[in-house]
Amino acid sequence: MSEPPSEERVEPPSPPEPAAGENPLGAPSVAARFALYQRAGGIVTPLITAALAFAVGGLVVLASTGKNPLSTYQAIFNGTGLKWLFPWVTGAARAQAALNLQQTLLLTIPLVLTGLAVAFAFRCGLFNIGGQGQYIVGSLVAVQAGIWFAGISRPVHILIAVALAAIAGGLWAGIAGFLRATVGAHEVITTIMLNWIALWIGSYMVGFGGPLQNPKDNSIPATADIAHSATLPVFWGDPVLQGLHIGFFVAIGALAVFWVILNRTTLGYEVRAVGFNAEAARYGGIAVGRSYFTAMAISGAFAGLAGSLDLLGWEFHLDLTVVQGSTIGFFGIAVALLGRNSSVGIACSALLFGALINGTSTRTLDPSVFQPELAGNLTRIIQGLVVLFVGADVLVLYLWQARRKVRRRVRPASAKEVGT
Amino acid sequence: MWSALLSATLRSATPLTFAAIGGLFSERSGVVNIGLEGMMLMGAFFAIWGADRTHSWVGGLLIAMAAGGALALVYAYFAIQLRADQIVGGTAINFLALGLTGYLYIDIYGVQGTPNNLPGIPDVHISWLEKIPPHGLGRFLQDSFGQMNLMIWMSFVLLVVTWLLMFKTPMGLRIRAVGEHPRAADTVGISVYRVRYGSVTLSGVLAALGGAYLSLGFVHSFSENMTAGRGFIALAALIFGGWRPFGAFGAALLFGFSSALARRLPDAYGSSAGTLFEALPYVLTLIAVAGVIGRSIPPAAVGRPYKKQ
Repeated sequence: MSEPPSEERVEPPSPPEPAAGENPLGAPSVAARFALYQRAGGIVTPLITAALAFAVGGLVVLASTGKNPLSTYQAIFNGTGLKWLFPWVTGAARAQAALNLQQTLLLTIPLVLTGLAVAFAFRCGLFNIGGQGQYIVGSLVAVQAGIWFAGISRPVHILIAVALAAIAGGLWAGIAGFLRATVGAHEVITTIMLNWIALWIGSYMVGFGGPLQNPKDNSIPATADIAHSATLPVFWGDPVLQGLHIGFFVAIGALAVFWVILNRTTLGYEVRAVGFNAEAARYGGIAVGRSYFTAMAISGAFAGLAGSLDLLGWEFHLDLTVVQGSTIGFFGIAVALLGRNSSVGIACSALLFGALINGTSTRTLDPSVFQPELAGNLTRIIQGLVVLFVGADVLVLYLWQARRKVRRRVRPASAKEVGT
Repeated sequence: MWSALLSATLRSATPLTFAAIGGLFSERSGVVNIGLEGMMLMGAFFAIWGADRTHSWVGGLLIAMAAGGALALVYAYFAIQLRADQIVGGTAINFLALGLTGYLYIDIYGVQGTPNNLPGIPDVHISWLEKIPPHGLGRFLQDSFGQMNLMIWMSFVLLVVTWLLMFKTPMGLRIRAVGEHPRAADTVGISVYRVRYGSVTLSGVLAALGGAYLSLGFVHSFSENMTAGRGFIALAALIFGGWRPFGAFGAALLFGFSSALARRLPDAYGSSAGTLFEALPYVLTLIAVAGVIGRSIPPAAVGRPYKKQ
């Protein structure tokens, strides 16, 4: 079982530190291999990963429904509204595309932030699976703050609600950071537990008879609407039809903040140092425990922010189905991994997933082309495949290398496989 | 009343027990299994599909086991052979199973849902328990254990077998050695990859059985994402139980009890306060890993990919 004779898997692919000298084609130098890894890793790996995931998703479509995957993907693309970016689309089609693009960007906002949440912790060597819980905590705090401070001026109200949500998300994640720093409890386990604790506390709060349930209507498990002064202004589209709110700029600002903190501050330097090698960082005089806590807290603040922007931007109240059914925080994992934990990468992959989620929703996908319920699950399959393939970037690198090998093998016919 | 609560506890605990024992095999061999949830979900769907196709619950169970094992094998390939990050891989498995089962469910059964004449896993009727003296005890035993589903009895058997296998046989020693110190195990001639492949695949098979109990043994239907986090409770039970079979079973019972309570309290008090009991397993596990009451310590090599030399 350990060495199955499969043609596809000639040998376990072994970058980044392969056993040198095994390569019959003349082993490239370590520096060359590193350069390849960098180059391939920077932009090629995410591209191959996404392409692979979409290809497998297309096979699923073909095998199960017999429909043309390309036309299915095209219908999904039409639903994303990205056509708005093409100048030749005009008239009614352009207006429709604008509406769809607003929805896509509305979904992209929280994806950017939950992606940043996962990525920031990653940079410190921590895996924050708890984005979903921090998102729920942020939503809960934002809805309460949105109801409470009714009557104060709009910018102040928004600022208070958003700030409180970010702090709450940060503290929630901070529990995991604190436990990691003090008793060494693994953050994966603690954040998973915190996810579910947040989910059930949220369910209790907004559920029947819960303290946050709308006092004026106890027939549905949901909170009251927030005050108008807490809603985020819409700058593109119709506020009644869920136009794009100013949270869009908050997300862009967060991308910049993420980059600045990591690359231009002492705190970021320490976080990255711990992420590279915690022992070396400790030896260098960095308080590793404090970095764990700070990194988790900042990470959670991003996710809490995501929850507040969704709530103040277009949800306006918190529903039990959102508390229990939302998966934005989990999508953040895929966003961060595909974006390779960098600002630009996260922006791109958040847009990709935002477009995919919106394009496969019942609202935008043409049911005559492909059933939206199926397409929604197709999104999840693609999400899973992306995470699976990114996790094994060795596989993608292997494919990349195989391509190069094939190309080289064609030229010198004398180069033979010496045996594996 | 107490017997009703006990049998409700056992019903809730059984899927957790199967999945937690599955996780035990995987983690004892040094591979973290966050993907239990997804493997359970695969089992839940394919048990229904299999029973529908083969018109027998045995067929349903076998197909569920094959599906869970297959998904686990994919995970094993990425985690062991490709040395992918095990947390990332497990997360991917969960997404993948959620999408795949949801997709197939809609594709095959559509909006009408699964057929309602499926052959469910039978209950085991025991009538002599009532005769055990004194009468009150006999009555209690009869009400608690007299009508249990076959899968619940199977979980008891699995528990004993797992304990024997893990701690009394050479194979168990090998699994534990690979999970504690793979290099040392390799040095004495144990194939680390083979043991890990076997253990991870077995964990998928067992988790799928837990899922199959949920769908085919209990509600006799499938709905999207029907495991609803039970895989994670099973993971919590495994950790809370200190990576030991009976510890995990005890934790599964405790967590099953808390969710049985959570489902009954709203009837009594007419509010959502009961749902707080659903959070109890996670709070307890958080406390356990924080080390407030007897720190629970994982196998030494868990989560670390092994590279042959």
